This record gives sequence, structure tokens and C-alpha cells, in this order.
Amino acid sequence: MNIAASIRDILVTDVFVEVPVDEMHDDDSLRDVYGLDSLGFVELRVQCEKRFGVTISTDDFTPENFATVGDLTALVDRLRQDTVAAGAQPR
Amino acid sequence: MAGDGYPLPFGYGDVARFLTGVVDLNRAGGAGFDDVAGDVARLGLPAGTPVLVCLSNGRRLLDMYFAVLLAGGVPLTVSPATSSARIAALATEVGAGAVVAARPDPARYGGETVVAVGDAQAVVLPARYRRTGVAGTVLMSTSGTSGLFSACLHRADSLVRNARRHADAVGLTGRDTVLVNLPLFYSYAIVAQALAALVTGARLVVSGPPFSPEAYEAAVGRYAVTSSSLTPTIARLLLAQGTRLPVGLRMLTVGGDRIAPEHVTRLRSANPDVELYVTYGLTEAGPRVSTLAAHREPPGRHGSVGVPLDGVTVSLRGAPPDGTAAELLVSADTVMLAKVGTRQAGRTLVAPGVVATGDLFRIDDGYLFFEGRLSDFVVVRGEKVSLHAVRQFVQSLPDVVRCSTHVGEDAAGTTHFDLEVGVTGGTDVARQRIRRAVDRFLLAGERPRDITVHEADLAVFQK
Repeated sequence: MNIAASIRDILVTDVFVEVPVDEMHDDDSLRDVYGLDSLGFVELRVQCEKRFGVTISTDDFTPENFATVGDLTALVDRLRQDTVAAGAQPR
Repeated sequence: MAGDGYPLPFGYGDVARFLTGVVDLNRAGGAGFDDVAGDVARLGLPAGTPVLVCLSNGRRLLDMYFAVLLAGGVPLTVSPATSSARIAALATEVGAGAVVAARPDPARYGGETVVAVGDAQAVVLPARYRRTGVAGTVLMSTSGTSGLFSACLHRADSLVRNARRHADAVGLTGRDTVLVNLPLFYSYAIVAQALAALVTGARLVVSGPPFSPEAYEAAVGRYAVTSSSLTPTIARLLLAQGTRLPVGLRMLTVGGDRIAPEHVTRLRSANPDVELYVTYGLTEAGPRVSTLAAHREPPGRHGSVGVPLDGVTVSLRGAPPDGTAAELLVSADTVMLAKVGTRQAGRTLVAPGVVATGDLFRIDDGYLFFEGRLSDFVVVRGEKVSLHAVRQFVQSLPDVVRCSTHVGEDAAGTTHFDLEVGVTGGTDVARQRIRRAVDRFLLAGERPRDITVHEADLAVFQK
């Protein structure tokens, strides 16, 4: 499962977004379309850290990085590359 | 929807001008207010019909809120994170005529189609569930105290009166720019920020989650924000990070939960140029009740929530001796008209215009000091949670005969609660079913950390 697909799965399984996975689009707003509130974003951050083996710092936990599935995918991709560069093994 | 009812304290033109000036940090463009108002009117709902608005923070939510109100409807904003099952149950309880959301599935609400309302969509609910109220009123849900399926009914003009009193208490004027990053479905944000900006002429800047100190500072700087409101949780976060309030901020209000006096003192010390107001209120009261202008008070009063707003009278139930804590009663012409939907104990009207807060206070030289809560709720990760409402929900599930809640703290001092549930039949299946229902139906803060399920001894319950 690629990063975007995994994030969509997290949204449905762990954050309890009711939009079906096959109706989710990369440019959907996590806040406006999926209705994430502050605790929903916290849960999404935690689950992404677990699923992808990365650490999302406070500096990266921003409205811009968590605006859409596509934005979050880009963040996770960057953090995974950083993890590899540091010699660790992302999931 | 237009019709007789309570007169609104503002007209279409006032609202349209106000909304034109609102800055939405999360969403550019979109439908204009005229389009939204036209779409709402075309829904053809009778005057006084409740409309649930489940939209994220932003101009779109405000457009919808005022369009419903001006059309004679009764808006009720709820968190967009709320599950459709819960929204449907709430809609039934309050007799709603429509649910407005970003992308609602009509089948989940018993509807057949969606109708475009601006950039959102409405599901018009079956007429058999509708109950018509009175135009010029507003429903407000409360996160912790009203239960899962109820809301407070207020006159719109009394909310505006409360907003003016709040503005007077904190010195908010038309020269201010107000940043809203609290959810607009909180009574504080919609009344003390949005309506206060409308009636004073202040500019409104609306943001949304997730909260980030950097984005907060950037928004204050970029839009010359002078007035901001934070929860104690975020205030503590800023203190823990050693983050000073952004330059340019004239005033900060902190409320929604208890803030420790030492944190008030530290906020003052770290930000001596910022006016700091500690606020107390409850949705049932309209919502604002009292204000402490901490920057004008000695540290000895930093544990107080200040003095009542003009027009608000407080007393302690039973008139106990000086220095003794008792339940605070609030009397004002901004107190709710009624609670609608499923009722529960606590925070109720004890007479017209008088609400029992469920909060224990002592009053010292006119200043209110919070001493604890009578009501059955806790604050989990910054969200008020009604344990009574959670228990009620779990006890409504099949095979559940008993449910109790146990509140605790982890090593870091974070509050959580666990559920202990007694069921008839197999516990493994029941545990899975309860966990699934809890996760699907309750908001994140309302979900228990652990659920223990055991087979109930029915004899125990047969008295």
C-alpha cells in the first residue's frame, strides 16, 4: 500500500472519517471535507508516526502539512527519506 | 423560512457587510453570502425550523449560520467531526429540518438527495421528524454538559446582548482585529468572538485546527490581530514551550476550563504588555458570566474568574456563610430559554432567567473563585466530556445492563477515564461491539482509554 493509500486507510480506520476510501481525493481538505477537529489531527499524527515509522515534530505539525491527503503524503515521504538518510529504517 | 418570531438585532445588510470583511485563513474564494442566503431560502423550510450546520471553522460556516438565522431558521452548529449517526440522532431530538455538511451522504440521515447550499450540501430531512420552533432563536450545543442529544435554546438578540457585554468587559472595539481559532461551535467563539465582532465592527480572522504556535504567531503578525482567545490547554502549551505571545497582540482571553493562578501569573510575567482576561461562562447562561482583568489585579486574585458582567447577577445556592463554597446560580436576561432534546441533571434552569451552573464557587469581595464541579464531567485533552452522557450512550447499547466510569491520571498528569461495563451474554463479542460503537459514535475526547467488560450478575440489579 502506498503512502497516500495508507493515509486514507488511517483516516477511515483510526480517525473514523465516514467518507468511503474510494471517494477520497488527494486534494480533499482534511478539515473542510473530512471534518477533522483538533483531536482528529492529533490522532492522525500519532497513527502516521506508528504506520510509517517516522517522527512528526511540532514544527512539522502545521496546518499546511496537514491540509490535504496530498500534503500529508508529501510530508511523510520527506520524513521517510530523512529517516533513510539518517541510517534508520522507516516502515 | 421567514416568519414571525423574535426580532433580530441586525439586518441582512449588517451581516453581509460584516461577512465581507471576514478573513478565512484556511479557505479562499467560495460562494458569496448572497448565494448562500438564496440557497437556504430555497430549501423552503417553515420558520422556526432547526438546521444543523456541521461545517469546519471558516467563512463558509458563518455564511451558513447567518443565512439560516436571517431566513427564520434556528441554526445549531455541531463539530464536523461528529458521526452521522450522532448527527441524525441529534436532528431527531431537536426536530431539525435539514443537515448541512461538506459532503453528506443523504442515506445516513434518512434523506434521498442533497441540495447545494453555497459550497456545502444540505440534506432535507423527512417532515415527520420536524418540530417547528420560533424564528429569531438559536440552538447551541455544549461539549460536556448538555449530553449527546440536546442543546440550549437562546434568543438571538440575547446572545448579541451578551456579546456586547463581553466586548465592554474586555474593551473590544471597532479598531480591533479578532482571531478565532477556537471552534465556532463553541458558544464562546460564536458569541464572544463572532457576534462581538459583528456588533462592535471589529474585523474577524478565522483559523482552524491543527493549532501550531508558529501559524498562530504568523496569523497575528500578518493580519495585525489585536485580540485572541485561547483555552488553558493551549496557554499551558505556550508556557511550557517558553513561547511568548506574538508581538502586536493587545489582549488575550483565556477560558473554557480552569487555569491555575500560577499560570495566570506566568502569562502576565512573560507578556507584560498584553492585557490578560480570564473568563468564565457556560452555554446555558448565554454564555459569558464573569471576567477577571488579570493585568489590573494583584497575583492574589489570579485564581479568580473575576466579577460578573454588567446585567449578570450571581448568588450561591443556599446563601452559605462568607468564604463557604456552594453552587453558583446565574441570573441574567441572557440565560437560555430552555434545553431541547434529551435532558440530564446539572446546569438547568431553576427559574426563568436563572441557571444553576453545577459549579462550586466561593465569592470573596465580589470576586468569583472556582472551587470545583458538582456536575459529572471531566476535561480530557482540553475537551469537556460528560461522563453521564457517555454512560447513557453505552447503557443504550444492546445487552449492556450497567456502565460505570473511572477517572484517572497517567504519570504525566493527563486525565483519562475508563469504562467498566456489565453485559448479558458473551463478553468478548460485547467488548468488540461496545468498542466499535464508542469509536464510531463518540468524539475523540469522549472515548474511554480502556473498556472492561464482564458478565453482569443480574441478581444484583433485582431489588
